[in-house]
Amino acid sequence: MVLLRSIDEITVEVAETVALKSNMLKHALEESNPEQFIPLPNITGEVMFKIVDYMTKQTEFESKKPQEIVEKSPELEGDVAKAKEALKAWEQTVATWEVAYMDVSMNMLYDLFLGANFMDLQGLLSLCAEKIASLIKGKTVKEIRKTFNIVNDFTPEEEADYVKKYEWAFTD
Amino acid sequence: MPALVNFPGNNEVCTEGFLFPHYAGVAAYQPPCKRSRITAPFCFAIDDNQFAKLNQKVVEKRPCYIDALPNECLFEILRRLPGAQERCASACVSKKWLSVLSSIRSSEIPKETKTSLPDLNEEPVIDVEEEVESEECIRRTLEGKKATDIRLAAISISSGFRGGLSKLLIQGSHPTRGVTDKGLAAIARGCPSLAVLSIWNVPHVTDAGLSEIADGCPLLEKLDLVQCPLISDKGLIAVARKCPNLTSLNVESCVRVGNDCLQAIGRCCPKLASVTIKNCPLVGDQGIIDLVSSAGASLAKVKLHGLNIGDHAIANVGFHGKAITDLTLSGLQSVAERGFWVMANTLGLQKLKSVAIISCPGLTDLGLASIAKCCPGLKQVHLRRCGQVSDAGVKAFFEAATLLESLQLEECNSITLNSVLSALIVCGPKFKSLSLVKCLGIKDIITPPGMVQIPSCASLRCLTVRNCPGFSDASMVMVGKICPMLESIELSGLGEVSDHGLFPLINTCAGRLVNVNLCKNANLTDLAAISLVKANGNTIKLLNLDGCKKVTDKTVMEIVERCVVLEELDLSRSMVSDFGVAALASAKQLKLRVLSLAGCQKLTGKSVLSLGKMGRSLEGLNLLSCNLVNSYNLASLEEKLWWCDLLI
Repeated sequence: MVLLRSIDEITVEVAETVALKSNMLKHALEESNPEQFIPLPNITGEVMFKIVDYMTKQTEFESKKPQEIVEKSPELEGDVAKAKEALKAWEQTVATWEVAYMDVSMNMLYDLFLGANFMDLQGLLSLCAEKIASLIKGKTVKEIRKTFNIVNDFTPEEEADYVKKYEWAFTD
Repeated sequence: MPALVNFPGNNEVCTEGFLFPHYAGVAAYQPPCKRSRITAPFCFAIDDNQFAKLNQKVVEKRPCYIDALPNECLFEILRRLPGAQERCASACVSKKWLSVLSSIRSSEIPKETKTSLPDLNEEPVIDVEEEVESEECIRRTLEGKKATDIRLAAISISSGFRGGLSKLLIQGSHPTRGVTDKGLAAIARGCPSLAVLSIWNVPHVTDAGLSEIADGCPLLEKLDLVQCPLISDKGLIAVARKCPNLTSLNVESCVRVGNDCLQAIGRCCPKLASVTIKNCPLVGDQGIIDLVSSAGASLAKVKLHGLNIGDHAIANVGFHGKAITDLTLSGLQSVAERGFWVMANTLGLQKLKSVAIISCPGLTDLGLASIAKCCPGLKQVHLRRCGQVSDAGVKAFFEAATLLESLQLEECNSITLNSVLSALIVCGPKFKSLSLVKCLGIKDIITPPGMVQIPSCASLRCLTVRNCPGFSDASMVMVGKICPMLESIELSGLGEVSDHGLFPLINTCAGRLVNVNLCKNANLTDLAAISLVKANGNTIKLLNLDGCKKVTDKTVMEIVERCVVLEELDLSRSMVSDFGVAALASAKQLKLRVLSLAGCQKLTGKSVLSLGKMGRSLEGLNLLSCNLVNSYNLASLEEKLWWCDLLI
């Protein structure tokens, strides 16, 4: 079992197989004493739980992943087709879970992203990035700035340059 | 559990973070002096509603700042943007977003999200300034104040979805936030199909930027670097190694560029066809030798200007220049007679068609004659400021260069008219064009005694004599007798020539002249001009009488009456008046394309009214320095001749 401690001093215990999902934890485990906890200085308790939830569920899904049969003999064709279907169904389950998982507030989304970045969790990082990218979809420049509270730091000259070039992106 | 007992912290209750002070029964509450362990999966003793409410309260307290995310996170988000419109919009959000976006290589965009062309429903407004040559080929030019890193980043992002940038010209740079390596790096990442890159006078670009381009644009074909003081061999070596398709290289006034890069380019670029190296003080013999010896098979155009190279390098250019067709050697102070002689006599320049030798004091008669003898295909020769070339050299040259078509002699003051005229008699059958500019040695000659009949040169079609102060009527008469087949003549800036000298020429070439340029001949009057127009009215297309102060309306009337195919007419600084202009404007059979009346002091507002009636064929009209033409009239003229380019 591995001990993780958040910035607000909440601890959680996870199985080693689950912990190894995170590259950062993998390196930390190699170096530190297994009895010691691993501090997560950038992550609060709630976010830590959410991340642990992700890691646990991913480990679970991995273990349940159906085997792919790559046999070329004609008798096993039926099995190959079945295996493909099973794989598809499994992917669907994972996708559904991920969509539900990512249904969070903006704050949590940022924190999760930072957490995934810190803990080097490629899967979660990808999910968060895609979710934020999808929030940008279909928006004009002003809308993007409003959604994400971004300050416009272009000089008026530079902006005039842009308005001319990308006028269509500015239409409301 | 020793680790847990020695748990650090203070005894105060934490008010930050996700704590739930109202819910004392919650297992997650953590007063600092006490720890509890929770085994995964997490479980809260509170119910979902309460949790959600708390979450919301915290959300309301803390605003979200995406800018708090580090750049690598922003990078991950922006490289997953679903489409072109999103990428463009994101580029305009803030400088940070723009710089992160421009750092994304097209290979880093996941395939599912990459779109090469936008939706038809989202077609962007095409900027009229940009030239879209074809669907796949886009060209951008940034000049002066508009050349900034930000604009380069924007170009890099936007060109990705329009088919790819193929030509980029950067001329100058904004004084404070101009083009630097960052801008070039953005282009390198976003424009992998870049074929032509020109960087002129951009002081902050260094080898690092050029290396980025080399990394990102392997299809580069033409590279043009002018006045980039920080670029050295390193950057060019990177280009040589990573851009094997390079066909043309131009390096000018780059003070740190030396021999090493030339060696690399010669070895690594098998398609190199054109090289220009100008004013690079660190380039020496070895660099040129390495370049021509490795690239000799493909190199067709070589221009070497203002370099510290000597005989050895030039000799090698000759020896290895099997494919060279155009050679320009300019300002090579250290090359002596021997260099030119060896260059020619290695018999390597068999395909040489055009050679220009400018300001090379080492070019002598022997060198010139060798070049003519050893380069059988030589067609065009231009010699400027080669003071040592004399009559003997010209004569030997003409005797040997049998396929010669065109010769231009500029500021070669040792040459006299004798040699030129005798050369015209012995020249090959293809010799069409002779040009003598500022040759102070050209003076009037006396017919050699015993010469009864003066032979003529049947092949010469084009003659230019410009600014040769010694050329006067007597010389003109000789020219007129020797060259009966002329079609294009330029006899300009010859203060000594008057009507008398022109008449024989006009007579012999009657009915043939197409282009006539007699500008700046102050002594020319209507007599000669009228005679010229009468004799050649059917053929003359271009007539330039700029600066012929004595030409008046009489000539214009003759032009209107006789000229059928005249397209360009220049009467600047002449005595043409409103009457003449009115005649020109109402001449319906005249389809003038270009008309110049600059500096004509006799013109008034009436001319402006007449000019308003000019035909639709007029493309250019020059009315500069016409003092009597006022601005009110000009505005209405601009309206009437809206299709025409007006210079006022």
